[in-house]
Amino acid sequence: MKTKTSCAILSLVLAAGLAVYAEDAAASPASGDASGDDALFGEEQVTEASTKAQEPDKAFMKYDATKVGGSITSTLGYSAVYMGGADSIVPDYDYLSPTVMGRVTLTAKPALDFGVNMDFRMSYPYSASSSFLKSANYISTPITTVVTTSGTVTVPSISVWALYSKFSVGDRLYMSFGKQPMAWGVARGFFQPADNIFAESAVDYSDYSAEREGPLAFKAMYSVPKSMTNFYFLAGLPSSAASNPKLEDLRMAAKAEFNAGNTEFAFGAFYGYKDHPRVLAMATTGVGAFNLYGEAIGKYGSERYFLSKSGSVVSGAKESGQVYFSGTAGGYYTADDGDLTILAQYYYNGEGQEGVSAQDAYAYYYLGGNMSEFDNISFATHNVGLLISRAEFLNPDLTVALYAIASLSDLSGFVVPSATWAFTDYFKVKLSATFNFGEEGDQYVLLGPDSTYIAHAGTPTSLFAKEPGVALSLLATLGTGSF
Amino acid sequence: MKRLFVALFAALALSGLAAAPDFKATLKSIDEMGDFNKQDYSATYSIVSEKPGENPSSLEIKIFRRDEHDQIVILIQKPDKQKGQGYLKIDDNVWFYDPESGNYSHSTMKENISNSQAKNSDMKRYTFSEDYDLAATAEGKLGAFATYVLDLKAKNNEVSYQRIKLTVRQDKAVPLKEEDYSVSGKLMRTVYYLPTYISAGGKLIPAKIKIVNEINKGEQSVMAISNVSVERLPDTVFQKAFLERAQ
Repeated sequence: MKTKTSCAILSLVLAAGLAVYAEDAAASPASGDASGDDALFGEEQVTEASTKAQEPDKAFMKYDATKVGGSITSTLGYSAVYMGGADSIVPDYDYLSPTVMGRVTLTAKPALDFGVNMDFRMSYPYSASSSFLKSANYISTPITTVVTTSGTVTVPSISVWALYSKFSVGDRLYMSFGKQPMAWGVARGFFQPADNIFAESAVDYSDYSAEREGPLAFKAMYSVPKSMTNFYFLAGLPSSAASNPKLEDLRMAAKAEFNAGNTEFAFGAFYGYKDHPRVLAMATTGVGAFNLYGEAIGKYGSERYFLSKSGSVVSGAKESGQVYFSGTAGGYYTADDGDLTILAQYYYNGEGQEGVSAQDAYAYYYLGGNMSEFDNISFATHNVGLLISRAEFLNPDLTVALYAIASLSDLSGFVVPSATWAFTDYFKVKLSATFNFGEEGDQYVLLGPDSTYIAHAGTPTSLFAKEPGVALSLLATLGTGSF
Repeated sequence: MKRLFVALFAALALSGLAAAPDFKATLKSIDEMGDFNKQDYSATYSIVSEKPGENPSSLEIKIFRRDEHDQIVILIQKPDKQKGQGYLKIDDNVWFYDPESGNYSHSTMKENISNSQAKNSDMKRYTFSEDYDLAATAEGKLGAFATYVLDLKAKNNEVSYQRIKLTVRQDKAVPLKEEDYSVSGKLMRTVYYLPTYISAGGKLIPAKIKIVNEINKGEQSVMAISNVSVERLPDTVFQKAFLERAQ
């Protein structure tokens, strides 16, 4: 939203640039000394604005050439993880996490009512290997069999983050089609239940406002004249259906929003043949220096297994004919100087698991081969999140922050304090620590403090971490920037 | 003789009136002149900001205003990496559009623009005559202009600065310099309205404004205003869809 510098300048523009003055007959100013401020105030100069029709709202909308831009994100991180009870300075395990991601964007607007946006991304290690069938030979004797040989091919790993066109009919109906972000909720924070419906990437807790990948989709927006009432229609095709899309794979939603005072309300509905219908209500408003928001979703039916435990046996069953309510409410505050941000959020998950531990649920899905249906984020019924961030803390180059997420259902969670020093705009160093808390089997304990336990230390002794720990991380931002 | 005394008395009375201008009326006049009322206003703002030890940064924005309904649209044109970002303000509501996510963020006037130094009242047209009391006046000179220096104290906490020292031309109700002070009396910033104007719709718009940060020495911004127009704008400009369409 959004850089601090540009928004500060915008505020100055509005404060100063809103000054205009009546045109009177110019008087002859007296002469004065030319020094300091005086040097700025010489003779008055007045020029006439053009009276030719300019259509100022259209003049800048068409691009003469395609705009090319992008960014590079270059970081190198080192993490050392200490599991609970460790009494040695030597970590239980450690790892490097290099990230070099390049992004190229193309924006073209050859006509007032037509434009194209593209966004391509490539990340280290820049290529991926895929296996393919090289040959298959049928052998009939002595036994009938098919002998196959396969090979591997290395291909560049380039993802199409967005590729869509925008077009309009008149000045009221705006549409877009292609792979594009599908943000239609109002939640600002770690839990975004409305956006989760269409989004194809998870919320990044360390940067909750980061753009989330969207599906192939069609969007339409209609603005009611002389009002702030808008109607939306969205239709998305998930990437899971890309190889063989059918009509029943389409997922559609509609939304209507309007304003009352300083509150914006929205109501929506979602339907997908292979999904569960939902109705939604959203609102954003402000009270004093705080901005508040809420999302409520009613969902008919659920795709998840609801688990129960009898003795040591965990069993699961899907339910039908039930309505599940989920919702989130939160608020955020930004100080006058823009350096302090506080955000707090509560999320109620109506499809949360009750009566079993997160470890029981994880094991059930893992052993049942249903890992794709396990959603650690949506396991608990009651969830909270908190963020406090202070830029220019004691020094213009120092930013300190803390964010925490917890499950109120099993009282587990994690806290991440951090400090970032900016040597320049392109070279920064961040020191952070992730402390998780809870008991064995709890949601935020079993995967380790930074959720890397299974990948680095999970086997052979135990698939899951048994106790809380701490992950210390040092992250260097090396040449990250936009162009 | 009697007529001479009456004429002399009248002249003295009138000269007395002329020597003590009505500064409250001056402030009101400044406020009214800043209101386009039934006209729409469009312009391009080019802003160059300097900070010690850093390269100057440039920002170009388009502004559309309809004062009649307290509506403002701001669209960022440069730098390219921010092109397409926009703000829509209607009454106490502010929407920010991010072209990357295609998302609108709604906030209220009470909240600062996200991650910004923008103050609550910076997005609205504050009025000197309604929000400030005249504490003191003095005469002065600024460059080629004879001036009045008006010391203003805030009447409420809604404004950004509790005290403002406004230097106004004596020949017409036009500010040349504005010094903004904090509650503690510390000079926070100085705004220079240079005497280069664009005439449009019977109004004079300052074509160049310089803003100096008095806290962080060396930081300043210079704004140049161009492409000024008072042409009537379509109602669709002041709707959310315009922010998206303008990208």
